[in-house]
Amino acid sequence: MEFDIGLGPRRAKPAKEPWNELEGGRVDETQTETAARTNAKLLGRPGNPLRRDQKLSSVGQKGGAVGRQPHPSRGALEERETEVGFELPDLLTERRLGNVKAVGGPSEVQFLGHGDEGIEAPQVRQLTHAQIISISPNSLLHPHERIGQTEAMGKNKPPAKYSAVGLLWRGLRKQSWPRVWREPEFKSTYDVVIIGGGVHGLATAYYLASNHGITNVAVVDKQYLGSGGSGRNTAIVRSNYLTPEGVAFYDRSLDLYNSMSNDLNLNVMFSERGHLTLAHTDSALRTMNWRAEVNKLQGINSSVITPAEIKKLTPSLDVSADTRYPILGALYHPPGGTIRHDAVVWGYARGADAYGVDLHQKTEVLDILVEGGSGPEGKGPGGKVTGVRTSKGDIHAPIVVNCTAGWASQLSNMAGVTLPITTHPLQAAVTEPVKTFLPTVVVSGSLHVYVSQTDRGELVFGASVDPVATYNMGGTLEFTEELAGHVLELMPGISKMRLLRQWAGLCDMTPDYSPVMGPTPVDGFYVDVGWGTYGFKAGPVSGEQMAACVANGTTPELIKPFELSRFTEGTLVGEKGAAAVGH
Amino acid sequence: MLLVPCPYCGPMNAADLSYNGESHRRPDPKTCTPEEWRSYLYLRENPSGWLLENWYCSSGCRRHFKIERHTLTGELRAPVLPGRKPGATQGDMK
Ligand SMILES: Cc1cc2nc3c(=O)[nH]c(=O)nc-3n(C[C@H](O)[C@H](O)[C@H](O)COP(=O)(O)OP(=O)(O)OC[C@H]3O[C@@H](n4cnc5c(N)ncnc54)[C@H](O)[C@@H]3O)c2cc1C
Ligand SMILES: [Zn+2]
Repeated sequence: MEFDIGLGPRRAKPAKEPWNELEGGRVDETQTETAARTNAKLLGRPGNPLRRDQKLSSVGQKGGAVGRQPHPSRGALEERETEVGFELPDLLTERRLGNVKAVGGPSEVQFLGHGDEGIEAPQVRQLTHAQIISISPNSLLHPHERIGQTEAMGKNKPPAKYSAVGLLWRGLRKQSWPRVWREPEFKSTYDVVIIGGGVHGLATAYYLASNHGITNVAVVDKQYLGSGGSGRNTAIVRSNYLTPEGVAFYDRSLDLYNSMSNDLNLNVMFSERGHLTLAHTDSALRTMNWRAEVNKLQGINSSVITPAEIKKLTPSLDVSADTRYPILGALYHPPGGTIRHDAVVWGYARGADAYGVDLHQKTEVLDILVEGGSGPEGKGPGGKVTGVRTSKGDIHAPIVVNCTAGWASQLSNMAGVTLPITTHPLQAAVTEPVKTFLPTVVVSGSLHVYVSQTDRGELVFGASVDPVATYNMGGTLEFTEELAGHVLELMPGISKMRLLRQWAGLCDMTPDYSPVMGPTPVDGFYVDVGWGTYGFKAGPVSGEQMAACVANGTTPELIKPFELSRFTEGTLVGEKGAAAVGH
Repeated sequence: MLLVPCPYCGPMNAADLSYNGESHRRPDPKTCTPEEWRSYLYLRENPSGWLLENWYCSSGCRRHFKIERHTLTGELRAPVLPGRKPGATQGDMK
């Protein structure tokens, strides 16, 4: 029941409040990016970073959030941009920067050019468990075993190679570029339906096809591919976590990222520049030492370094003793770095599509169909999934995988499965480009901020999640104020730089800062969620392991610690010490 | 900025309050199973819509209250005092 609580009539619609508009307030979901061109100079001293009278006229203006990421309202139409736009300029930038290493040896040549003219011999694949089983009569089979029958080997074809010759050929003949992935027809039956077209959903689809020969798979997304966290993150990858389970898992992801440009034949611009987590307090330093020891035991390159060493690595940091929170040391992780997130999404999408996986954009899942469960409408524990109801119609499938990150609870609730997740927005911001001066990724847990510099020269900032749970992706002025103050404490030299944009994405936070992966009490319904602020770096390994989990019907060792059942069994995997701000 | 009406202090900036998340009933620790207790500790509805939540007026009157908030639009309904049901009339609040 709503009634006036003495705050005046305008309170009923907070979104229209003047302060909300002024501060790029939380307006509505479609305004996914605030893209606030606040022109806010990071003026002044720490603590007083932003004056209210600064130009805020265009706050709330819509626009691209991350790189050339299209605005969601334009949706799938922007595929054309992905086809043409990104390769050539990227390569030119790489060349200009002399950054040949990032382009990556032999794949550089393949990376050039585009198109389907390259002919690849179909890969010889071993028969998987699923395919072997599929010889027996259909009706006797468990859903895990039934999948992969219909089109198991039919369309197994890796994507056509990009090549330098191809680029030259098309360039000279002024040929246009074909679409990178198909716009498939809507089918009513699949072996596996994956909900969510972010890096996790697409990687799962890709590895189902490439590692297990299961290609009768649909990926459905309510917006466009990469419209969630996967196109909004700050692209940091590392594996220096706190628990042995976490370290092993994220390290496998780094391995996959290392060979990704070759595997997907698309330059993901992996820049292994080193990752610094600063310690400003004794207790932080103790945690760093602890992490370093756990990391070393598992063969991860990670050590605690002194302020003098930090200064040598990253001269722009103020390591003097007279700051408010002096830097006492840092955990240094040389294999950490950044990767171009859009390229990862597009690479997996292109790869999966080539294997015959159908990518349905602008297809929202409205309900998950479950039979025989103990809850209302036959949903919930003990039930069996039979498909999904989408905005385009029903799809029947014995296996449904929930990869919807920030929206994970909504989707799981549809199946009668309650998750240990709350959804919080995480905001980020980017400055105008300047000459490169920041060679590493710098994270400060105490100051709730992290920063890295892109190849184009922009500084990318992030923080910890907003404290109040919400599904609204509007930006706030509080965020930019705090951010500017804290960044200037670390790097006073950048006080004249201007902020270009700010945006937010939804993060699915779990109580122990570890993901939730694997089967649920509803048969055939899987989750790969709880990715919080650290899921981008885990995309490849999650896809690989979830694909194995779905194809074999058993949970692989690497993700066993992250099963949903840990919350009822009380076996949490506490990663807060390494993931609260660090991403 | 989210303005949350504390029943005692009036509108407060959410940043000045402690947000304690979804409000639901605590099972009796003497009689419930460990699974029930852990579900209470960890599992959340996390809806996109109206949600009854716990807040603590940490930089104001230092009292606890509940309020219904729309998790997508940010709209707020009347605060609820401990022991009262949501949807009470304003008279009840005093
Ligand atoms: C600002 C920011 C910075 C970050 N920085 C980092 C970082 O530096 N390093 C790192 O490792 N991680 C980072 N993360 C976290 C990371 O981005 C996410 O964990 C990751 O992208 C999750 O990927 P995903 O594929 O699981 O989900 P998403 O990419 O969020 O995809 C979920 C998809 O589900 C779709 N969907 C939702 N509901 C439905 C429905 N009903 N029907 C159909 N589709 C639906 C959405 O449209 C969306 O495309 C950051 C996140 C943010 C927001
Ligand atoms: Zn109060």
